[in-house]
Amino acid sequence: MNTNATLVHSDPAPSGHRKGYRIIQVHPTLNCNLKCSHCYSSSAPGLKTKLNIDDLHYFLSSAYDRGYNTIAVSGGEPFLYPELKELLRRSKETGYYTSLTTNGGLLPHKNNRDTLEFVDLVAVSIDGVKEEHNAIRGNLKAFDQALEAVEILKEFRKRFGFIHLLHNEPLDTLAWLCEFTLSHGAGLLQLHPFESAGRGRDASHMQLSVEQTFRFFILYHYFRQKHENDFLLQLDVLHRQTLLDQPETVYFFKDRELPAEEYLRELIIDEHGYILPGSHGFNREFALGNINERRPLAELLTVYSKEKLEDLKQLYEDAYYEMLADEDVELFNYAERIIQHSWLVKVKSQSQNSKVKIQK
Amino acid sequence: MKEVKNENFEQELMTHLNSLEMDKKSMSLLSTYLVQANKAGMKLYDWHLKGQPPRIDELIVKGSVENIDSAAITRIFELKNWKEIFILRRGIPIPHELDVHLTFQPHQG
Repeated sequence: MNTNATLVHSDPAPSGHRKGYRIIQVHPTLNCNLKCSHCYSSSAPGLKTKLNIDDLHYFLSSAYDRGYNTIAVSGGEPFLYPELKELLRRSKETGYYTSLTTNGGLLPHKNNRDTLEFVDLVAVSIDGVKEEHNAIRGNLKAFDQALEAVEILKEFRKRFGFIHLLHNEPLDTLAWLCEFTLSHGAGLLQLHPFESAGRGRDASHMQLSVEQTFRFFILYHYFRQKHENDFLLQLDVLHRQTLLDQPETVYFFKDRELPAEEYLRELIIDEHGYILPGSHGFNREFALGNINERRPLAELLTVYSKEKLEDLKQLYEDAYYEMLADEDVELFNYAERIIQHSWLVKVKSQSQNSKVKIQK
Repeated sequence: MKEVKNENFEQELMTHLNSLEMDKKSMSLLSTYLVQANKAGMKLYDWHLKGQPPRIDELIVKGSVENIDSAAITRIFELKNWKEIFILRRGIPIPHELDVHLTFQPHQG
């Protein structure tokens, strides 16, 4: 599952990172040891595409110079990226706060344990009680392996949390998850709603109904209060009232003219090296470029400001007003909405200089 | 009227949320009111239910507001959609906190 930007945002990170955070989500490979039925990126065993470590490092170094301070590594399973340790080591050296999301299954390997030295935060995916987790993950050992990973994280005194895909499931799963988080001393429980993307398109039975989303939203408020001194509970759902009160949350700044970085506080490097705004799955027509071009972010931003920024701003504005106009919907999975919206529009001004090659 | 205390509250709340007593409109209203309470600076600390399951007569949410300035007071009074708002000032000799109890009734919209 996604190492979501909000995960890092809400993590009790060092003070220097909490204010003015700028995040780069890195998906270095889609190779995975599991084949989960809900996977939005369709990650699976045997997928060989991976990012070049030197291209990645070049881009990340230039991004750090532009104020990006956090990287969140996801996948696929990050531990199947052969250069993960090197990526994290170089990122730490550069000055980044580093996090990764894992299913935990490969953490026990010696080399992977050693990688923890360069990680500030680890999020372990948990889909529910053992039987549910294993069924979704398609592996009878998946839950026990996740638990083993948690024990290793405790042994290494690593900051860790859980990330749960909220789907069509009993309400008491949330009570169980909170107790589970509490019993393991984790600092975070992030609830991310199911998205109909990737393999998730074939798992429509997991989709939350409107009523179910309301129920979880109300319960979330209860449990957040109950556990406010225990761990951070986060639900990646936006309420209509929040949209009205804080449009900047969804990059809609009304009449204010802001530099490109303000619309690109979160960047995604997908498995092919494209540098995208928003979330994994965003239309690549909005890409800033590709890391294999070896161009510094400062240069990419200059070009982007001239060629695509207006289109991106228009996209955010249109998505904002369309959500508000949808009177039947009170709670929004914003990430899913904006990705879907990005595919409905066409970027007017194509980059003349962009010669993007897909790296295999 | 039966009042449910904390030890059974979670199970009762889930039962109520699953029951037909809490329809989509009621849940929509409650969700909105909770967001507004949060915006008003309320730090929730307790929840209570009244009613014989599966019937729900009232849901009472208790919270405190620590910064008592005029803006905070205004924001609390803007929570007018709740069925009942009960406010207590806390602090001697000068109040430094407001204790706010908000009552929600399903179907109140």
